[in-house]
Amino acid sequence: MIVEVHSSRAPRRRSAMPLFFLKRSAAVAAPAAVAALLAACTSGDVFGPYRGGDREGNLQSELGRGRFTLICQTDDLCDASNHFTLSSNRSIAAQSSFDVRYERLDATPVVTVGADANARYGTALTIDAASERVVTRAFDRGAGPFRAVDPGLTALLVYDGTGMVIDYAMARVAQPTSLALYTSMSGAMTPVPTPGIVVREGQRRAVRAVAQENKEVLFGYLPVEWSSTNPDVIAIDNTATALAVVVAQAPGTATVQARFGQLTASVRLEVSP
Amino acid sequence: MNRPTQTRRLLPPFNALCNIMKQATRMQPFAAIAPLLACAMATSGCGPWYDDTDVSLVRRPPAPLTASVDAPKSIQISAGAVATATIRSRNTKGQPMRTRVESRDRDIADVIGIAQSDAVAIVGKRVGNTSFDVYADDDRVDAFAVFVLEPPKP
Repeated sequence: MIVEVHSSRAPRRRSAMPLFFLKRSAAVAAPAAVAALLAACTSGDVFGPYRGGDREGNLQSELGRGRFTLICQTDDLCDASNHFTLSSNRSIAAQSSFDVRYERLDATPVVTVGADANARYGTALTIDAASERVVTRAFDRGAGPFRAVDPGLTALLVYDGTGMVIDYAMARVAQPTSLALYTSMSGAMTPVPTPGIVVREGQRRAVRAVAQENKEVLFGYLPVEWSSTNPDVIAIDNTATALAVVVAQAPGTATVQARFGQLTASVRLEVSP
Repeated sequence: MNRPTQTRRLLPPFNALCNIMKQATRMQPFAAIAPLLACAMATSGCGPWYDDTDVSLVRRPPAPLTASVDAPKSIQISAGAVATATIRSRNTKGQPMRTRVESRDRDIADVIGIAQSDAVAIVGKRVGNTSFDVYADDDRVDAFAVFVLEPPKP
């Protein structure tokens, strides 16, 4: 018995995204924030407890041929060797962007692919979503990271260079119900304390906004708008992603607010001399 | 894995006659005399010809997404879902035939081979209707209606 199925997929063009990210990275990265977040990326528990399963396998391979991992976008904070997973519930925040790494277990050496990794590693493997209503690409021509569009379920399929399916996993996109702020404390990202944060004049501190669904952290980089009630006291640097670097300008107090659609979260900062 | 069957090699004019009769057995106006045509083909040395195609789901999508194969020749799958299946055509002698499947509208549903497997992945992409054409030994022999359904809210 021989079954032949015609592939529906044309070979993909290689993306120039890594270069774009490198340029952006060089332009906007704050060294202190990079150091803090890289430390957070490589640390143990990041963004809350991890409940069950393999930390690096939070999307279950349906064919059992590899391992899917939701990873950071390749920007000024993380790269493929410094990825981190945000949550264990496999859910991704609607309107956020994210990337996927796939490690093929039956291949030697292990093949890693992702939205950005195709160009980076030169692999012929690609990942695509079954339903573009749920997950699509953040940029045209099938390049760049993924973007979660509307709540729903979709399969993420891995294709080889001939267009054959190698593996797939199911991903769930959820509508965020709340927003939470995290900051780096002792090298790990922790929720911002309710009373607020005390920083010294001239100090910089990374604050990150994450989406939640019923208090569960959702994966994905949110397009967050940041604001400070008193920019003379607390200025905000690097607002390109869900991360903001707050800069203590002068003694006083200010409240930093993150807004994502109708959701907001804020933290009070006190600047000491 | 079984070898695909091959139609017996015949002289070109006779082979063409066999093909015409094979096509006729699949056409509605000749349904009444299909057994007669089949008998004529069998006794004239035309050899076995296409009989039917089976679709068996191997792996269904996780709930609440669904996928099913319904009679007659209908596949239903949720948008965003993937189901793996085997699609096998057989001839009138019950022997497997070389089978190929193509979607008529790949934006609605697609059928894609799985590497190192004789199964295929049926992918529901967008809500709508289309069909999968089945080719056996390079002849289009059958079609399955495919309905991609609105998935339930997660």
